[in-house]
Amino acid sequence: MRKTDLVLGAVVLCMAASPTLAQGSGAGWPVKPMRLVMPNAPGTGTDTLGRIVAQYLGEELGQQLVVDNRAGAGGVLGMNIGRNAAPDGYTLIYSSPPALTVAPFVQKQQPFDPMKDFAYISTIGITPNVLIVNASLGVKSVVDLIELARAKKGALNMSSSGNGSQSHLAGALLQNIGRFESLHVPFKGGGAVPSVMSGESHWSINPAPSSLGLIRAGKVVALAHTLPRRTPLLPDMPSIAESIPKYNYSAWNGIIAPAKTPQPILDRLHKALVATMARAEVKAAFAAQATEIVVSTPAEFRALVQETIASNIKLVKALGLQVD
Amino acid sequence: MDLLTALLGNLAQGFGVAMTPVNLGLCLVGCLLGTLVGVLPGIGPTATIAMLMPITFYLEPTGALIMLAGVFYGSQYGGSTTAILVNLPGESSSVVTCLDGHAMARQGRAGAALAIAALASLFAGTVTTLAIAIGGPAIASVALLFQSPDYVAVMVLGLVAAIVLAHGSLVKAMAMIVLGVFVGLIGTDVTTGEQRFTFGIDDLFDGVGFVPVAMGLFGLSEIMLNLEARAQNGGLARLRDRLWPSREDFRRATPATVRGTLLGIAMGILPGGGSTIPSFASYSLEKKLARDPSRFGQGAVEGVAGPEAANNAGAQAGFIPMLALGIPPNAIMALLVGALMIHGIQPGPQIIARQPELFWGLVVSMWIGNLMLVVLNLPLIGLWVRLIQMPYRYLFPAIIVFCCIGVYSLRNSMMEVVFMAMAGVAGYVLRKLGCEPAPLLLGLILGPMLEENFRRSLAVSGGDYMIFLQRPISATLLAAAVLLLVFVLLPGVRRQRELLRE
Repeated sequence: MRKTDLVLGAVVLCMAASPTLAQGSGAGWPVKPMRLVMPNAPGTGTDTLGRIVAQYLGEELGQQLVVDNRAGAGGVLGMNIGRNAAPDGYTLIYSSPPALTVAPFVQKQQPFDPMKDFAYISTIGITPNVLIVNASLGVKSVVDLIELARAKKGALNMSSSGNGSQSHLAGALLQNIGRFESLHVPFKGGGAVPSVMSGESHWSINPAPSSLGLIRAGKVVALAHTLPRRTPLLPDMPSIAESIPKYNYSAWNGIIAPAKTPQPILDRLHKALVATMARAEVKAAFAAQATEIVVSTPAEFRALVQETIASNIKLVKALGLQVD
Repeated sequence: MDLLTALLGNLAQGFGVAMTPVNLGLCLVGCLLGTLVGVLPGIGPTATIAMLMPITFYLEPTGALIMLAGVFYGSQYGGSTTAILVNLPGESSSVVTCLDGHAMARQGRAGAALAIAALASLFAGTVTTLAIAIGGPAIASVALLFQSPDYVAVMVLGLVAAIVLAHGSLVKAMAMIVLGVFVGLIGTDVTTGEQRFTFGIDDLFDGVGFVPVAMGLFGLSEIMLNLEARAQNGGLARLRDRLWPSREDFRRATPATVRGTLLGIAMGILPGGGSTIPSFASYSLEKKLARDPSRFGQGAVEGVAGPEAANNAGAQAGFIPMLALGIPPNAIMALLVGALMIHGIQPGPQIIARQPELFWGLVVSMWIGNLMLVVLNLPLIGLWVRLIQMPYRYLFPAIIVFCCIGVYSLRNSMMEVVFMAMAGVAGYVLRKLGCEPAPLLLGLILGPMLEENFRRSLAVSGGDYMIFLQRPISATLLAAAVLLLVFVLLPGVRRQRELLRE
């Protein structure tokens, strides 16, 4: 019986964007359903995180927060839709490094200005990327991999989930700091991890959720993750920085809004978002997606984005990805 | 013996999980929603499952998966309905069903076509469920044997086989395939990140979607042709004789269903396989095997049964790599992986051992769901058939409205609707010129995949073309493609074959 109640409750919660719930929220905002523009396709890792946040942030604000998938052009389509939306507090934008800090800088004409066009609310979490290698390679550590790659002079392949993807840039950074070269084999969609398993490519760096199952089953070998420190999410895994100091490629996620959104609304959003991320359900759901919850002040978030842009532009230029 | 006892034990456990009232209810909800989503053109299972995901936060993981899975395979049933009745593929996997399914409807045999589609889907669903139960993990590892060169060979074989898709001129069919491949070139080059034929339009960066093109080429152009013909009667398809298929229909449909199922399972487990390519493949195969290929396109029942079995089998076989390896072969499976991970369940090789109730519960629920779908759909056939007897002036605007809503919802983008309209006009012109749209669509699907894998193969091999002949899988498939090509292209061979038959 309890289960049925839960189902009914869920259906009611989801279907009824009931304005009566909004009473007592003060200041007249929010009085109607809101949307979270998601510049990624349904089923991607960020989409899943976004849906978790949207569900509980909506509860926190007493309004339904609808995820609006606007994938395309590496995220530029969605970011532009968010940028051009009315800055009335009813449009939020989910942001992660590819759409905000890479895609605008590989187009001929920069389509938007990440620093000027958006108001920053808070980061929500950091997803570690994990360096995996093919199991039959016999490589046990980051240093082993670098030595083998140097010995084989570029004959080791690195798969990625596409040109300019996090997986590509994180791998390029490893080659850059580790001073070795691997052939880049880009995949569309989710082919990068399976290709390491099948042995067609030798190593790859991908968001932890996409490879944890295979790592735990011993189908691919995990060497290290990309955060600059150890993480409680992957207690047994060293960080790449332990072998190669200075290595840091963190995939943060955050919520932003169109630039001219009124300050009182931004303040309320920040408070509600911080409260959302402190909820037990959200903590559990994020942990299941191998994502650490990290909240920040708007100023900290802004600084983080600026920092990420600087380092990504350097990589994009080094890789010749910039079309000019 | 041991294996059998183990299997029965597992299935018993699965029935225990799937037959609880809550899970049965969720299965029914999923199947109903799926049917609806399938019937409404363009509105796909991907968007639906994404929207339903928050509800699953509050459900048991098994129940959640049962419901979401129901939406997916339910949509495979529903998709064939509009394809048969109004030549409008409700799902991309139902494109091929239009060819002969709608032709049957025009001859007044819509009921028979719908029944055959539903029964073929049930058969495929049952067999695929059994295959998952018996050999899931083993089958999954086969998918890993496939590397880029092998995919290239599969696609080459597919493109060669596509030539037989057309029932008109061979040259026109080839031209249509090439045109499809060209349209598929639009977008961002996967290997270099360079833009091709996008003219700086953001909406073209990810290429032209398959669904709007399919709906335009088939559905909208069909409406235009109908309006032009100014048919005097009230409806598209008339009911001539009974609803149920004849004995002759069953005799022809049965072997096609079996072959379609096997093809669907084989191709569904491959990454990127999904349910669309198997349905095309099955149609080509049936046409190739038929004693009288000219019946195809004129309402051949095998052309409905085979592809419908193949798309359902392909849809369900996709669960094998998703569950057993944690590798989602398509976007829908990726969504399901996300839904499971919210509950702290990591799909992967250990899932069967660690979450037996989830795995077996899902397997059994898929079978129950398939049964539900047939029970739901068979009585509806009469209703559907009557629905399309509505006068054109009500029917056509309604269809176009649904198409626009559905296509818009694919990417929440107006551009998709524009693409569909353009494809509709193009489809009208092409059909006036006697060119078949089906080969174009196949070129559009296979072209980009072929290119991506071809270039990846050469990158990995360092530019050595021998890589395609060194791998046993690709070498075998390429040899088959060459044989097929020789067979099709040599008119002498064909003539002799026809002589022999007489």
